[in-house]
Amino acid sequence: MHLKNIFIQSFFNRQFELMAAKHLDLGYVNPPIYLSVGTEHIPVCIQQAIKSMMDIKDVALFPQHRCHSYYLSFNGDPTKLAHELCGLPTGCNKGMGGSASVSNKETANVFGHSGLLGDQVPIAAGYAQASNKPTVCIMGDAAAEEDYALAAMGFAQTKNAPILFICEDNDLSILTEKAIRRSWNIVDVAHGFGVDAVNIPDTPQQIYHRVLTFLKNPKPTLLNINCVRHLWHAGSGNDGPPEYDSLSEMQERVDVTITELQHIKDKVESIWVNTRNAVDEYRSGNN
Amino acid sequence: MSTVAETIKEITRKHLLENNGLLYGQCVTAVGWIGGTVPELTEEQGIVELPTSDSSNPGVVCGAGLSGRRPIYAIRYQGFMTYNSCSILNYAAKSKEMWDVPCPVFVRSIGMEGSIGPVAGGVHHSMVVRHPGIPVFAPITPREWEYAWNYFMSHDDPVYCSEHRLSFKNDKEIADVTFLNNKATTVIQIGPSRLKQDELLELFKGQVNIINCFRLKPFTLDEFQWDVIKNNTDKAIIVDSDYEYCSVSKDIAYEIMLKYKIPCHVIGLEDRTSGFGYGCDNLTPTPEKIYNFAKEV
Repeated sequence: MHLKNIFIQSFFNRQFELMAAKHLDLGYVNPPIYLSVGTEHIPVCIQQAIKSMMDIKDVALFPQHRCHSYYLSFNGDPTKLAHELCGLPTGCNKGMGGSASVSNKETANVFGHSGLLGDQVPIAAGYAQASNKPTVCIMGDAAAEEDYALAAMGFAQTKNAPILFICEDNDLSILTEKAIRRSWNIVDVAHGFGVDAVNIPDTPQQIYHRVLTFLKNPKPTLLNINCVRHLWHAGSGNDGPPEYDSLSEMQERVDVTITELQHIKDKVESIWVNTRNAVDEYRSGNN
Repeated sequence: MSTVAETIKEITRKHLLENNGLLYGQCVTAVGWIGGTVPELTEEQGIVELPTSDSSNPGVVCGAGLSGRRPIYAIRYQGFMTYNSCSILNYAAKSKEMWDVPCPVFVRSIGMEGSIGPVAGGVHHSMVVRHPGIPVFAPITPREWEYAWNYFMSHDDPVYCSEHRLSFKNDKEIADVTFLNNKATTVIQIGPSRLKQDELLELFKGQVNIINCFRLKPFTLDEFQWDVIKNNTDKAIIVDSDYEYCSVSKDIAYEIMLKYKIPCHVIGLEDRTSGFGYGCDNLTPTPEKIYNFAKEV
């Protein structure tokens, strides 16, 4: 595992998201927007694990909202994503997907999400069963409560489909905590179905090695990753400093120079300058 | 001549064994193999038994659609679409438009009526017709079913095939149009009321035009059928086995009225829930009911 590679892409994702937040506040990005600040390293760890074993196009990915970092980590063109968030026809989904429904079938195998919370779970399970190809399905702790998500987990186990369920568990459904919403946990439920399931912290090592274990023997597996969402469910607001910041913790452990970081910031800045110009041009052309 | 059931069964067999296709459903391999419409094959040969999860199963089938295996999804009663519609209409029907990723799924949604209660009775294709991205057919003859299937196989859209169990034993084709040389009432029939077309003609003593309609979305009639509406019709009656409110039959009536300024009336299921017991049913309009309605309006 190359922690520095994970950090560099995660840092890029963070900068992209912060700039997206800024451009939301400036009126360039179309709301609603679901930012992944605080969890942007999870897709990078998954991608790095896949890349160490196979072409990333050989694995199907089914994220839902809060998917920008998945798109970016899986070969997505950041300029096209920025355009998408601003509703431009030059966006990665022609402006149709916005923030919540991003896909990339050109340079990866990332499927879009309809917006119906958790419906990617049965869809991913069906894809895995029908194609028999390794499939990664991402959900949040709220989506995991959808009845069809639970039933799909049972289906995947019954058919022994090669699917990895990732539950990004930030404990919140908008602002309602898990303990208020349910008295059970998803790992126990998955065990009930017979799915290999484990509760892990969001450290790169844990995620990376668990994904590798799945890829070596693809079978129904659930990783419930405890993580922290820094910003609101939607939008750029926050309710104070996060409990912890995985990215900062990672930065302390990698050898990265200020110049390298500045280079990434400059790259992201130029993407958003390009996007601002494209939006201004589009708006003036349509007035 | 094959029946509708035999036609479906044979086409399905070929699809599974020759096209690497899949068929999904609940209790598919039970006693009747869905009215004899499913070939007696195994899971290894492409029949996927689903759990009893009407909210999750359509998503599973959409996933198979994305994988390129052109799955068939058999829904035993059309009323179950109230759960099953979620991923079909929100994902399969939108995927191509949203992400340029086709999700071809052939939904066999099977209508039934008569002592079958509040959910399993009737057909419910109108709720599908109003959604974008999904063509709808309502075949009741072998040739019509084959048409719907060929459409599916030559396009990359999901297709909603509104079937009816009453048609499974039918081995006869129905004339696309029966018409007079003078102006008369034109009955445009959708669904299983067409199976009793001879009785309807008899009641009218032949003094009626009848148009056969199964391509609901995009709503399609052949040119000669349109000619009958345009030239030989003083009023039109659209008959369906779905409810009348917000229905495809009212949609068709609207289109004809705008196009040719001909008064159109609609008759289908009554606006009430059907029950199991005597007198509680809500059935496809009978020939008598259609005839009386045509005389009244």
